[in-house]
Amino acid sequence: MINSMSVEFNNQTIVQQTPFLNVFRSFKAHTSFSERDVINHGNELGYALDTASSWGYSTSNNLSGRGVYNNEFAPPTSGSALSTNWDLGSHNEGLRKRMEITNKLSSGKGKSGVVAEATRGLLYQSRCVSKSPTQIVWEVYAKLRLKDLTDYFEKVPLLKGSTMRFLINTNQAEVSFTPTASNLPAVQASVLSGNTFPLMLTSQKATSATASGGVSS
Amino acid sequence: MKSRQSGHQTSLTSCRLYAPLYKFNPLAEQRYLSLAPTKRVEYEDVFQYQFNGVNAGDTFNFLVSNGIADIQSVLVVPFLSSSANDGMNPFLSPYSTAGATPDPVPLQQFNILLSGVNLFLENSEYDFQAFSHHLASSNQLNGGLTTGLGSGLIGKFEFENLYRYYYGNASRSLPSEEGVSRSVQIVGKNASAQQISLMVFVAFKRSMTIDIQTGARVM
Repeated sequence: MINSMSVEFNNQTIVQQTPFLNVFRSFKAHTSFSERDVINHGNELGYALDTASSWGYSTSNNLSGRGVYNNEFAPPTSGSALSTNWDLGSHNEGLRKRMEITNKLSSGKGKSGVVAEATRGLLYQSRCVSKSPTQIVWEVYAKLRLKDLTDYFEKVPLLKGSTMRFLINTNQAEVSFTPTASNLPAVQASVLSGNTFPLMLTSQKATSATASGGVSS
Repeated sequence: MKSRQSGHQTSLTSCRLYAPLYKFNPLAEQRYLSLAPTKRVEYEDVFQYQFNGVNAGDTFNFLVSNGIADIQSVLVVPFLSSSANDGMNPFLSPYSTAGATPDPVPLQQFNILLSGVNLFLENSEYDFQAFSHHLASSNQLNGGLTTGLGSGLIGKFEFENLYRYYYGNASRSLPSEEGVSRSVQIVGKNASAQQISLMVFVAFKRSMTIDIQTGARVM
């Protein structure tokens, strides 16, 4: 989500602004988090490791998109991929977990009778606010731990009387696409700020007994 | 934040910063301030570079920087080029996880040269070398050497299939080399079937000394 960040300490730059900070800090998170870190903090940080083996590549019509794609989040409906192609991780479990956090329709299954949608808004809960045939609205709150953004905050001691200033540039982009019955088109996002498109479009492929996808068959 | 299309606005309309604030026991405060009135903080900062257009099967030899002092590590992250990704920049593709992951691009004959000296004794040719010898110990508790006390989420399976980070730890140096600028060069071969780009991050050490009573920067 963050493209770059600089830090000034008493008006002197102590952490320089570097683009693609998201790439470097993702590497740091992947290599330094423990499983327990993910359990305790993964939900609030929106962090779940993408499945390594679930990606695909296509340069022709494809319901999961074009180029390298890793957006099939729904596992096969039954059976085991083991018996067909030994591709054990056929769906992206990390994407599915992140969607669990952000996409839950909080008023579903009568929940709004106990906790009203407006109350969830007041509590700043990440959720799918509304769904209609033409529009879906999500509210997703991002928690950024300073120590995850730059090493300085991991090392700085207790101190008083200092002035710090952060300059944070976010990745903001929008994408316009028209899916067809057989294809998610090759489109790339237009950048409004930053260098990376921070969202994902999920697969339109129907799941089957042995193949993952993005919609139920 | 406000949606451009629907005008929907989140309940939280501005970002918030929460910082821990501690009220000391006066005796503990006096002890904390008197034991070490100034503290030296050493931390990492990062330079980023990008090299485009390495064709399938081609070798590469890039001078990343002419000179950086106190280099701690060099990280090379491969991505497909836009032309190889069906015309989409991988970072801007809505279908890809690029950015949070590398693209699954294998490199062979890989090495990092600091001031012309190989960081790895022999070029990294195979996956087990690149993973076990270099990546597996990166950023981990005690370098992942203590059984039962480890961290990190990338195993060999993850490395082989997607998380192909090429990493070199350059933090070990003689005292005489501290503060001396060293050039950074990367060499290798694109073993994938597509044209790629290489993103390089060079982490280097910074330090500062702070007077913890006044918050002033001393050095």
